[in-house]
Amino acid sequence: MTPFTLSRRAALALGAAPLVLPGLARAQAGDPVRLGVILSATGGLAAFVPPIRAGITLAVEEINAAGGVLGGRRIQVVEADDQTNPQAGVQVMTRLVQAENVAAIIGPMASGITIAAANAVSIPAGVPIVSPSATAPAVSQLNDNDTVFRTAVPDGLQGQVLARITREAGIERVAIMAVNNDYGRGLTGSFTAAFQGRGGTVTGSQNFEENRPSYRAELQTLAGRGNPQALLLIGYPASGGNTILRNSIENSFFPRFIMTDGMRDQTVVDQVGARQLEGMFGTGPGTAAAPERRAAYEAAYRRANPNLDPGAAFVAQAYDAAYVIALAIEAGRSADRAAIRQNLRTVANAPGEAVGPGEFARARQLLGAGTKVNYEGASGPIEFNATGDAQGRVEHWAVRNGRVTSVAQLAE
Amino acid sequence: MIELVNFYLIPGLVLGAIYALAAAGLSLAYGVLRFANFAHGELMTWGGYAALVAVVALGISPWVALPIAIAATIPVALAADRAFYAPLRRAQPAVLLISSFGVALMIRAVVYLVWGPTPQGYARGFTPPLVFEGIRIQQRHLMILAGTAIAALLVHLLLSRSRAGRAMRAMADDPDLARVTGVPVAGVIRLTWCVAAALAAVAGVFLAVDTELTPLLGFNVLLAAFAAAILGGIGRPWGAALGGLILGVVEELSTYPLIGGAPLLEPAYKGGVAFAVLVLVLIFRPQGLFKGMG
Repeated sequence: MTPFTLSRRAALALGAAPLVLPGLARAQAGDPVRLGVILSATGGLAAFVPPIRAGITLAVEEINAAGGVLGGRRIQVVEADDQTNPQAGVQVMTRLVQAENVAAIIGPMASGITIAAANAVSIPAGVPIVSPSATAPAVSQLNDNDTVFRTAVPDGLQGQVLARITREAGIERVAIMAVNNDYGRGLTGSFTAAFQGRGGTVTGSQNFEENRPSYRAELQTLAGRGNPQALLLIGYPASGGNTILRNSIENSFFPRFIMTDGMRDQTVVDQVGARQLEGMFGTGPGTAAAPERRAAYEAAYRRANPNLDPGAAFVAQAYDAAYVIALAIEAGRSADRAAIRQNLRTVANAPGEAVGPGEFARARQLLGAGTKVNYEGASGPIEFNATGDAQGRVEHWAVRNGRVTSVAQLAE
Repeated sequence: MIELVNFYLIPGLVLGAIYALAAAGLSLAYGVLRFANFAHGELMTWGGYAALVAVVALGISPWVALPIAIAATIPVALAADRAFYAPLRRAQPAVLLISSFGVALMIRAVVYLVWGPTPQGYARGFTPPLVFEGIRIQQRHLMILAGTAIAALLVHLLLSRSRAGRAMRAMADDPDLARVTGVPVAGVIRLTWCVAAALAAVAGVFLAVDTELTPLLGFNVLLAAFAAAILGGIGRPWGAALGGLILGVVEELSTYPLIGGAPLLEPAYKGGVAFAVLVLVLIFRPQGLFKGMG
């Protein structure tokens, strides 16, 4: 048995070597910088993921094609799936932070998962995370030691815009079905306050549990009280949203539907029925980008992905998240987590020489010459405020001729 | 009052029928094989997607595609048994339970790989409900209730009238005694998987007809199906079916606005009702409604 024991010891020693000498393993200049990406590739938000992933890939490919960061190191994406589930989110973030040793993380997508995973993992570890799509107001209130950022615009603004366009559509009485999580509860709160401020009435509001086979009972309870003119649905397509629309339309519970960013997806219209949803409207992540910045991004995106929509929800936000992280690495001349954290605001906010989508090489030259840069992104100017939230616009969209169509970009 | 029937009782019965089918298959497998098969939800999902393939390729309705769904699901269950459960037949139930969880993840991964995560449906567009004397019911709900009744009758006939069914019941009551008295154990196990997989496929198609196909279709009702199976007395398919009906109806009725227009219970906590019922039953009748096995 002795040789066996020896060889096992040898194997253990070999396996442990990288643990003992992590600095040695990482110090080489040519090693890629690892960038964690947590997306909800399965579960309720899965339909949103393919265009968002393509947006991140595009940004990283542009950065690497322009020579990478820190004198020629490539950015390498390490992707993980949180299954649209907070527990899984905590697990995969732990893996990215501890085992994969990523410098920064893009994601998670959902607010509740972002809050859970940030509190459990990234805040204690000091890893900067930039969510492209966590919109709940509660994300701002995290005691995060300045590690949690988002390129998405918080729902405080979305609730106000939603209330405004709902009143402008002549609707006074609304019933609300909201998913039972931070996103649903937060947006219900901000919408209700703004809607009542404009003289509207919320006839009833329910928080629904995801993934139920039927929502008829809840919908009947809402429809039967206070004579609502429309249903505001705050949820995700695959974890109840489509079922709620189907149940409502089949039983004629509500004549109109209002939706939010979580349901802004063409597959909703395709699955539920274009005829039934024609004329329905809602809000989504907007763009406040200068037209030429937006055009540069859209052209590059379409070249790389002819079949995906650069205007789909949160895609530009995800693209911008990759850019600001890479610029922060370059500005701090370090892929160290604390350095990235400190430099995210520096590269995103004014003042500074404005750089935009596809201009990584120019930005690196400017930074190399000691000039401060200000990233003006594909989704908006990306100015992080004190709580790490981007300022921007909210989109007003509507279903026109069976397509989800952008109507306006609103700032209030 | 008519609203209670239309929007609470009928949806509750439909949901209960689906739970009943899922729970009956689960209970049957438990009775003969003595472990909780966590892959049952994924067998449902598999059946649902198999029917989708038939619906899209042949242009038939999902009802007609039921035999195809069943035929596609049985080999999956048999292969899982052959590859993963058979070698562990004498292992602790916990080992089998965990391996069934692994099987569930494998099937789910294949579903994601082949059909992707985007929700899909058998049909687009809407059919108005049938109306009898103020009672509104969707045609597909009638079909689901009728289909469940037929499936229950067939399983009952199999178990009570056929030689194979008697052998299955003998295995469930006392596997060692059944073996020494010459019951062909391997054959009975194969038959059990066939029946359980068929019930799972039917439940999956019905659930997908009522909602839409997602890779988590079956998994999302698996806990409720387990609750129904335990409620009825685990290992007793009839008890499981009754348990399913009770759970479905109780869950829907729990949100009925009895007092002043407000729901009895916030719908977000509807899923908890099933388990509250389960706990109460187990306190007052620990063996389940019908005497289940340990």
